[in-house]
Amino acid sequence: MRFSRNSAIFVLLFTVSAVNGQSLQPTVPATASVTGQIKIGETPAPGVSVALITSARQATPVAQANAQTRTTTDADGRYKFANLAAGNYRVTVLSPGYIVFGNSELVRNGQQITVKDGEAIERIDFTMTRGGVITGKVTSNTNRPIIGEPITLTTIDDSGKQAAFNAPEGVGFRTDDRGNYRAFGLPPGKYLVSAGRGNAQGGAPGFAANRTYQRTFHPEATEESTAVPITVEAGKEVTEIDIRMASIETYAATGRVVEAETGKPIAGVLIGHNTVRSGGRGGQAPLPQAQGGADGTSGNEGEFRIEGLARGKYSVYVVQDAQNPLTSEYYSEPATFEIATTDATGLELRLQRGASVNGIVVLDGATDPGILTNVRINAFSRSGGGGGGGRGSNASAVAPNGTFRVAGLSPGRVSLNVSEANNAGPFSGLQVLRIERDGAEMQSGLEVTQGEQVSGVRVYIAYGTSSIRGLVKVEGGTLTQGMRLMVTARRTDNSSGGRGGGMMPAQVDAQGQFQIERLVAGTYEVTAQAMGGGFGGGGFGGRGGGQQAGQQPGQQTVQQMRVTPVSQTVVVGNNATQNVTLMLNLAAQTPVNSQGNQPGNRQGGQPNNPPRRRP
Amino acid sequence: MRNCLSLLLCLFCVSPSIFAQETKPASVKVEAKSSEAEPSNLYGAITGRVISEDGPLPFVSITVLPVSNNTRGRGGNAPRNVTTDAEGNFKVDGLRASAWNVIPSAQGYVVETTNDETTQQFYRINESATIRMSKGGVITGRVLSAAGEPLIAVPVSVQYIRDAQGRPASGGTNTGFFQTDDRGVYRIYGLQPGNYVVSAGRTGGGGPGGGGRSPYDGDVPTYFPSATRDTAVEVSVSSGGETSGIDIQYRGGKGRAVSGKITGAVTDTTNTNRPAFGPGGGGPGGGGISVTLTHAATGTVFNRTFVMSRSGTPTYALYGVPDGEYEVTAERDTPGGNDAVSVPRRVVVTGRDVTGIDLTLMPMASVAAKLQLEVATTKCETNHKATFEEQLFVLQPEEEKNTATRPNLRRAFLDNSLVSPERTGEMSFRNLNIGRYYLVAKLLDDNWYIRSITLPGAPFKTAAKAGAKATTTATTTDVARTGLNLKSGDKITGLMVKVSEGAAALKGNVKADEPLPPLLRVYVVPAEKERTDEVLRYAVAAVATDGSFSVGHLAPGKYWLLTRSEFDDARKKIWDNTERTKLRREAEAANIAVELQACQRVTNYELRLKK
Repeated sequence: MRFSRNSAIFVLLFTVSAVNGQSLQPTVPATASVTGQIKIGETPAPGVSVALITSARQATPVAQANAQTRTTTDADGRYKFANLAAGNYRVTVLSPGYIVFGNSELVRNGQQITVKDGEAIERIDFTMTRGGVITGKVTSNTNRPIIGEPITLTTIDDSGKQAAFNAPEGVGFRTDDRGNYRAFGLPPGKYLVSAGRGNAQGGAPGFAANRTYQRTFHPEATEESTAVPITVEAGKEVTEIDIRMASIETYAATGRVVEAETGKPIAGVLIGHNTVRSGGRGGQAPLPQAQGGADGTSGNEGEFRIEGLARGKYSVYVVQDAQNPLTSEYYSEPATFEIATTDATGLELRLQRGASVNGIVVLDGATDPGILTNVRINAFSRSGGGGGGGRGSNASAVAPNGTFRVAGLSPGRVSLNVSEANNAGPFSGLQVLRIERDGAEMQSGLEVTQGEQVSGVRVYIAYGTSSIRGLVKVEGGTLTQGMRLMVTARRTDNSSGGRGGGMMPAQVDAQGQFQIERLVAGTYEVTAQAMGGGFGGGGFGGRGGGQQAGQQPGQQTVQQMRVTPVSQTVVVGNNATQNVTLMLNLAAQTPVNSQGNQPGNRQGGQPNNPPRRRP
Repeated sequence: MRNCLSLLLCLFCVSPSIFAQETKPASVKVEAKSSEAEPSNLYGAITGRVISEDGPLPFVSITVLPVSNNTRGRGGNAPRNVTTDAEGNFKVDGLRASAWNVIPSAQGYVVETTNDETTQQFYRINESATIRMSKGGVITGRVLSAAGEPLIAVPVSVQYIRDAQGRPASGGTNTGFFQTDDRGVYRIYGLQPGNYVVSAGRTGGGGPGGGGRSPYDGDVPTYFPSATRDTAVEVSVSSGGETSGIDIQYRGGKGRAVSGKITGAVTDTTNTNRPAFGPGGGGPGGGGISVTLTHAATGTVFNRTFVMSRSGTPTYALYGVPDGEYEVTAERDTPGGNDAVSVPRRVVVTGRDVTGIDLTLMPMASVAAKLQLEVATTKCETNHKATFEEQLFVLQPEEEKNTATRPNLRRAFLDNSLVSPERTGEMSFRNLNIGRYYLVAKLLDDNWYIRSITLPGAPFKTAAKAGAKATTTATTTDVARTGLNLKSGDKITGLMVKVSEGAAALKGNVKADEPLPPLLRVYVVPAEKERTDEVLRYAVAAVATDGSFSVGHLAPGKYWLLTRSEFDDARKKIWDNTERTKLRREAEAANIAVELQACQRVTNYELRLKK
């Protein structure tokens, strides 16, 4: 049978496409083929892995890392892909450690070819040469070997333009226990070699590897202008490219906590701080309550001191703690400051008596009063004036009879939403239906004045019984082993749901199908996105967003990209199911400006050492 | 939140045992520090120092996080990270009063765990930690093709199989990512001393299509020297030593698929006020069903998949499974409610896909308990006022699947199954599997000991005798002795745990004329005849390699001390009636007696090893 020898490849292509929700049904029998030969120098190279990748519009890792067909060169160095449909393909030689040339040109991300129906394309040949190698040792300024430090390479072209060097996926360079590193498989050219991060800006709080050292270039330059470039030739090794690291200067911030009315110092409250993103609103900082992290408590004179701050912009605030009456009745605006080359002093946090909302929660259709003990009311108050942004939320437990009290609110608009006490994820299924104050419905939250004690509030909540079901279709590539599709739904028609409320995530299965349940009737924005990494086989553990070209483990490239999410508005009726289809283009990407999103964040995160475990 | 499923990647876990009374390893010193003008005892700091054989370690990353699963998320309880200064010192301030874990991380260094019982050290605020780290060991070698050619950029990983004294440890892949370079050479560093299996190619990987651009994507791992997991040869590493020449001849291969259906408690029907949970609803943490494949002998997780099904019975498929023996378990995550889990099913893969491995989900059990402090007749001197929130409890299954997966404190911490009581003393344990459980305490206050663990039983009436009234007697079950027998879906309430002040502690050294035998333990056995069955009065401590040992939380009274060289499950020796009787008989015969008063601290006890 004509297909017998190559039916395996054909079946694989078809199966894989079906699994990934992409239809590849040819209307004409697929009979095109691509063949070629791979040599190392003049010698044919057997056993080399070659991949054929479909429809990659650009050489991005997300687009290129789709379901490929793979084959291996035979004893003669030859390979063949057969039974192909017409289309655009890329032939890639998978050979870490080697540089690949096709038609005498350096091939970085595979050879692009266009195949017509039934066409037999031949002589897609490649030559492999061993790449260049740079080795050296990284030490501290006290001659300690720096262990496990990722090495970053920057290429410099003839015109002096610099670009980040991206090793083929799966390859990363780090120092070993003796401080030694070995960067291999490098195309010939000029490089700058560096280790260490910049100032500790961003990144997941506390869990980033080595933030102690400044980014330092060989031999011990903290500025690129004084770095010594290294010239690499194919197949040759450049040794003793050592780097001597400089540590990051850190400073302190000091100040006082006082009571706004009287100016009296306040002792014993927790102080915390956040990094403020430059250029963005301070409001992107995580909410103080949600974090709960603190630097210390104010002393007897209300004084506080935060150490270990590298250059950057920060905001310091009083941490709300429900157990501490001082903070649960008061609020304070955060104080923003910048650290350049000196300590920040004289900061003042003024505690003002906050407003409170007293009321009753009514659960629709509740038969068991004990249910309410699990419910929490969260109040988000926006600060009236500028500064800091990112207001905190105050939470209150709900008594068995439904009464609650949230206090310490700043004047302005307060929005309320509900969550469940022992449900760590954002998804709860409990929704606010309606909020009333003294019998009148409050469509867009409550307005409170300074220190006002608001009562007569009724919050009607219910478990939703509607659902959104749908399909995510993928184009511009297919999903890699480690990628996962994610769908979230957010209520848009009811602002009493609160600013931070109701992002409900749902998983998408292998067929692209998903369902989001326990929704209350309303209008939702359904968003689909692709998340990288995962357990077991895939990547190095995703941190949200797509994976970057040549992402070296533990390294942070300058510009992180992720697949652009797509959204659609869906109106859901009462006790109904609404269907929706979303089309996600894997080749369309946007930069990520903060650390990636982790859906369904769990509290009490684990540090690097213990393995990941769901709480 | 989950408990008691041995599905963890537990790093450097030394084979464990845990007892009714905790022990502190002699190698780590804890000092309670008093704080001067404390406005409230709600918050405090933990300070400490990291040292190694070469002196203090600077720039070590220290992560401090709450131990119990219920204290996280409160103000002052978020995980924190600091770095030691040039002298190895650190301080973390603004912590709430609760039990904290202090985890150091220094590339290339390990905290050596040398005892068989858990050496998990937890801290309270205003305490100081001295952490000893030592240079990890190294395994190095090459990965070669069948023709002897070096293979480049192949991922290489190790699994910890047994510790330096031969105790089985639950295998886990080590931290960090290692691969071969252009000469085919790999170098894995920062290893605990002990035995490992080394593998090239990804573990838990493989699948249809493969992704990425690594030629080894989707391959199943090849173990040193060129074997499957079950035929792998163990590689030994000494503390700070280097084991070289561990060359692996690569095989690769795509592995097989294991699939089946999921039946049983697919939806959560226990909470009648909530609509039923579909198997697909909610996403991570929102109630999905996952299926995990673990290596049968060691409990290492090989692969995990999520289950989605839109109609009828959910199905699952795990890909890229190499030949070997495994267990497959399904779990349903139910936030706010009790999870459901299936009985693990054994699967043997030999060169073919395996279908029809159906898994039946059953709701798990929960226990609500309350801690009470008995009014003390004696009060010990202390710098740190004890609070309920600083104590830790866990329900441990009696059954031990294999020594590699024996429950211990470290695993309980990683598994998030340690619980701290609230200020009122209430605590709840969720997601418990079927089986018999014992309540194990890790009290961070040295002056407390557990007096009783009881469960009120159904009162029973005695038949009315002629002329007399029927009497009702309340029964209580001594749960310390009987444990709790949990069935699927059980919701036990009213478990009462009483602690008392006045605990004594015994610290000392085992001395002998010859070198000490390995795996040595000291048992503390109550000498009073009427206390034979008071399980809570028995204690056991590991003896460190230098002969030191330390036992605390002992009720005042008369005791015998007994040494034994063994690594079976020490819990069983105390919980099991027959074993306990044996223990007592041996202890009586050895006749090393000691009497402890309330609040007494014996620090220099010399225990002579008899031949």
